[in-house]
Amino acid sequence: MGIRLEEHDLRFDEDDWESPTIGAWGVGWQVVLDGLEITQFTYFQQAGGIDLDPIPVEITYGLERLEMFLEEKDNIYDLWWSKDISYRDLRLREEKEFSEYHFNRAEVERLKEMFRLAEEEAASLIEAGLLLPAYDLCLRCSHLFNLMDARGAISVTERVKIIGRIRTLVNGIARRYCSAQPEG
Amino acid sequence: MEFLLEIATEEMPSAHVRSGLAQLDEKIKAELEAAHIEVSWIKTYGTCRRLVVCGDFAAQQPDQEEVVIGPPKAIAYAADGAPTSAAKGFAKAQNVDLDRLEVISTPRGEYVAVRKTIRGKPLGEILARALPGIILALSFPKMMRWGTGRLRFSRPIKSLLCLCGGRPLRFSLDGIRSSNWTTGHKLQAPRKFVVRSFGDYSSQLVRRGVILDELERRRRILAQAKKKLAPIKAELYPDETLLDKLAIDVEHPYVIVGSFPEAYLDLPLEILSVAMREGQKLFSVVRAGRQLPYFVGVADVRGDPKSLIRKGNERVLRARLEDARFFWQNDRKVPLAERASGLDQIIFQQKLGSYAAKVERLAELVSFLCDRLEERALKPEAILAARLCKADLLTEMVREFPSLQGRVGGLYARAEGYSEAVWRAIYEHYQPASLEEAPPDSKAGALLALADKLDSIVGVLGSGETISGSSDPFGLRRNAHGIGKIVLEHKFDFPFVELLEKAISGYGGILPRPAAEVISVCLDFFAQRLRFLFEAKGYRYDSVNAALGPGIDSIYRAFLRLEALQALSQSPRFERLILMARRVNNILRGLPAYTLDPGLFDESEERELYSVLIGIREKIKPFLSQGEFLRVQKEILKLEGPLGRFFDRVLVMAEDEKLRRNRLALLQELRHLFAELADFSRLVLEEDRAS
Repeated sequence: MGIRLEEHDLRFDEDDWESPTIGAWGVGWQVVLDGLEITQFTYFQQAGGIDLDPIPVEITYGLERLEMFLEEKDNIYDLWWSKDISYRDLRLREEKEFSEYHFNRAEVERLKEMFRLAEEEAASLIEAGLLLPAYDLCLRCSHLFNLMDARGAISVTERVKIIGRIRTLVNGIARRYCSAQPEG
Repeated sequence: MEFLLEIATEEMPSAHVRSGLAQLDEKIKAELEAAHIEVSWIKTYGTCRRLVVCGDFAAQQPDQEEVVIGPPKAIAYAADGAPTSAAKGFAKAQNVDLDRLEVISTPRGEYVAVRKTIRGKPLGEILARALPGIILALSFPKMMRWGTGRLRFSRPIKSLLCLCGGRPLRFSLDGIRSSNWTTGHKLQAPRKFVVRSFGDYSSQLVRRGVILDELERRRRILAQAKKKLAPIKAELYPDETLLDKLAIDVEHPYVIVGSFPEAYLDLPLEILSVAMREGQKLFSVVRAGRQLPYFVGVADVRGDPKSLIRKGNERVLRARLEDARFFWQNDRKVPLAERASGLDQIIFQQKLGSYAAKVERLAELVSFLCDRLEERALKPEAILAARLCKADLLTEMVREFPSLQGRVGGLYARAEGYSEAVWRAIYEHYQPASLEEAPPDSKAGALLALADKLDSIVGVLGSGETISGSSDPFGLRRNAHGIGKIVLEHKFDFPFVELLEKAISGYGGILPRPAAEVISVCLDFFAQRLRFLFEAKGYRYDSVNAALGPGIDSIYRAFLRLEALQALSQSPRFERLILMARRVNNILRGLPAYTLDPGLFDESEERELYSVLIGIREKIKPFLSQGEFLRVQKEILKLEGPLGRFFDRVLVMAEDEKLRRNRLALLQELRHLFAELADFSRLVLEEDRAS
């Protein structure tokens, strides 16, 4: 990759990970290169509320951060995508439009309605034993929750409740999925 | 015999390393003591990648002699002294020749016996058996599993090195086998190398980029920083917490000094230094107490010849400071008062409602305190500060740097032009956050901090939570210690139970526990915490018990009683008085209250004691109300003579019932007077200790 590790300061700083909506958590680090966080490294301990065995490992973040390090840039949009196209050319419009939508425009009532529909759909799919599509809808719920949160539409009490609702669905899916697997 | 153990792991948090080493030290010592193996010395070392124990222990257990008792002599030997079949059978069973049998006398008579020597086991055998259990028993605040193993530890164990007398000591831990090799610095010397002794281990590590001794790593960090800052005539701004962490996080410290654009010095220093410390673990740099646009970082390398590490850190810090500047400018677009209206959206605690409700309660409490402490002039500002103090929880700055809560609000309040009393009160109201930190400087800050902490304690205990052992999720102990420190520092003398009642009524009936129960739980809790705080300040435990004996009518008064007791406890007269006070208590134990009639006094010693008592009672009234307990105590010491004479010459348990009851009534008056001061029965005197 072009990083000569012996010339740099590479550190693993304690930084555990947790996603309460999907009942998952792990123990790990942020990987810091000369003061810049380039990667997260996590040993997953639970997912869907179930103890994992064997323990999976996740490496996340990455490309842009590493590229920023390599190009010595502190703004992602200053990166070069190719010889003549910058990351700004490629992604800035997307960032602006989605920011405008997420923070200012998204219709909260409609989001709530979409959340309700996705949640109902997930519940009925679980009943039908279609666990993977059900899980997909849970992820959609989680995403809609994030959108409502970004609009400041969720009070702290509601927040705990909604997270709890999604987690109950996900944990249920995980339990059924595991019990359907042959032992061993 | 030399012992060396190294548990090599992936990077552990520094707190885990410290706790792991302390546990290893304790458990290994305990194991050796139980095995009767002498420990000449034992020492631990640690970095984020290794937990190390070394020591010098006896090579084996001492031999032990065992006496096996057989049949009685009368059965084992015939009259002519010839061994019978009983003796022969015993010798055979014990696997010894007949001539090894001897006769010993026991309480039950004479018996045949064999003395056997049990060879002590070698050190290696004992440790090889014990170490897996010891390592498995280490506990950490958060544990993990990895791979397919069953083992739980702070972070994955990569290898185990164990030597005993220079030879590898073999054991295995959930499939990880101990060996005689380890590796050097993760990046600089990752290759395995074989270790022969502790000296060999630490010197090879140095060559391979690892300084084993934490003290040496700390020394290097400070020395390099000093040397590198000398040319710019600056110094490191001390930060023990950060140094404690870095001294474990790096195996080979190398100090880098970098800079940032001077323009960022416009940011408040609190924000600058937190952005540096918490984001990137960088030290601030000062000259004559003023922050300079430089930082000190500690890298885990041998050097930075191309300045890549310095430049990398500078780039990231610049981006962070730019964020901080953005928050600083953006947050101030919404005034605090307007922001505070959003507090009803933030939950203070699950069962205890929102922060909006909390700040209203705080306004009530500081208003009450201002009245009780004769600080009425301060009241409007204290109330205003209370209403604004939590608004910064809604700022981006606090979201980014949570440890700055309170201080950020104070800084914004100052920028908005609030008076110094108001912004300082907001700024200081989380203080003291620890036993070491100072309480708020300003009076309004102290009142608000006190109210905030008390409101939390009353709320959490009132909602039925209990604080036990090591679990104190709401930080109530820290809050109670904070209240104690504030009260002592600012000499706040107010009726404590009334304040508790006020705090409870502020919750307006949402507390599930009845008010009377909350008060008694709070009083018990505070008695415990004050005891801890006073003892930590060096007061004797028995004086503390005695001073807290009369109850916490006022925290400050309890402290004044304690000071007075401690000052007087050296006097020999005091000791005699205490003994008499105890005697009074013993005589009165379990008796009903009697009425005193001075007309019934029969002996001059009774009259003398009574008149001295009356005189003292009058004299100490003003002292008591002003909390001048030392003067009260000195007055009460005057009772020592008359009370002594009373006990010498007057028979309390007189035949005549009227006389007896009257004398008991006189002693009850005395007991009442003593109780104003302390529970003397809790004091431990020299003679108690001797017995």
